[in-house]
Amino acid sequence: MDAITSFDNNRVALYAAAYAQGGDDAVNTLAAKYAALSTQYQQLLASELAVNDPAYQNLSDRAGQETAALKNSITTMNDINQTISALSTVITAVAGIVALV
Amino acid sequence: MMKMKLFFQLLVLLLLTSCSSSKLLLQTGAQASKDGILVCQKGVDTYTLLSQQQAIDQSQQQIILILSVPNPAAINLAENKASPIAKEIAPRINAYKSLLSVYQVFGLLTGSDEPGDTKAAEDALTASYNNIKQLPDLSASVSGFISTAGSAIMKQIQSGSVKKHNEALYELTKAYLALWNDEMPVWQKYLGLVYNRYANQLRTNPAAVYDMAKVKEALTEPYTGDAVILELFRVKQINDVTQQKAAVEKQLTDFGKALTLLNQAHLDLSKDASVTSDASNTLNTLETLLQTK
Repeated sequence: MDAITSFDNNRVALYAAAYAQGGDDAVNTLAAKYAALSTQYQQLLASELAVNDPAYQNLSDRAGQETAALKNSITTMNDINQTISALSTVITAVAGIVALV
Repeated sequence: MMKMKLFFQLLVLLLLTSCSSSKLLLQTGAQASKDGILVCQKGVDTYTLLSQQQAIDQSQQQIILILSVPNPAAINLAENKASPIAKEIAPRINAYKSLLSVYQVFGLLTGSDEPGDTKAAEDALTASYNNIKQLPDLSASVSGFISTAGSAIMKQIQSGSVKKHNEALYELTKAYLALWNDEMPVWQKYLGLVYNRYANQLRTNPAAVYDMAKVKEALTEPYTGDAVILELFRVKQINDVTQQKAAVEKQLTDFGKALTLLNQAHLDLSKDASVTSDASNTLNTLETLLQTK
């Protein structure tokens, strides 16, 4: 970052010197080198982030597993509900028989 | 008969007590699920905002280049190459979208007092108990017990399930938070590159590129002298850039706080029922933060 700041602080003079020596081509070459310096710094930051990429993939996988586990719990709850409904049918039938007796 | 009645009354009391704490847990779980979705969406928005910084940076750098070279007409403006940072955004957005899906399904488990078909099952149960009520010699306490038993048992099972999944969500959000905190300094450096660099470049733009008549129009301060006015204009430009950076940083900081509060709420919920109100308070603080612009 220091190299970028150093270039920025002197860029007008540096571009003027390049123009004096090699015209527009020299200016464009210098601008491309500065852009490459900036990209290099961003690459450095990106590599710091990339260290965690496997961890994010792992988190996505864990989240997917937890979603599946939650869906499974909901299915289980619905199964219990169905059991209760079936039980109520039995109770109704028994109550009807007892009332007749 | 009296002993039997007392036994059923005691059972009803026990069930109602457990039902009350289960209901509180389910309500707080539902709140956590709703807030979890909002926090995950804020995470996606925050990374989207970070991905937009590349275009802002490129535009700013093109302006500075035009203002810095002797012959602007002859410069090759850089093609819009993807920043190395850009490819780091996608896995993070995907991770938060995956977590958002978890909260959506967690909401199905907690969203109402009973998930799925519980209400229909309970109605069927109540109807059958009404038949029993018509039977001779059945005490009122027994029929009362029967009508609350189904609902209370279901709530107990449901709250147990919510507790189990809440613990998993606590561990998940803890891992997300650790990664966020680990990467925050990198994002701050990136924003420094985008905004601090531009502010510094504006400070060192050559005076010759400014149209002083327009600069004077842009300022309302009662000062005179081209050199003074130009410096004041530069200060204004730099302040604008600083404010833009502060707005982005605020979004990052707020998201970190929101994720911390969500994780804290899951921790509170995983403790005993008496701490459920702590979880609710934490979630209320989180909701206030999310509403703040």
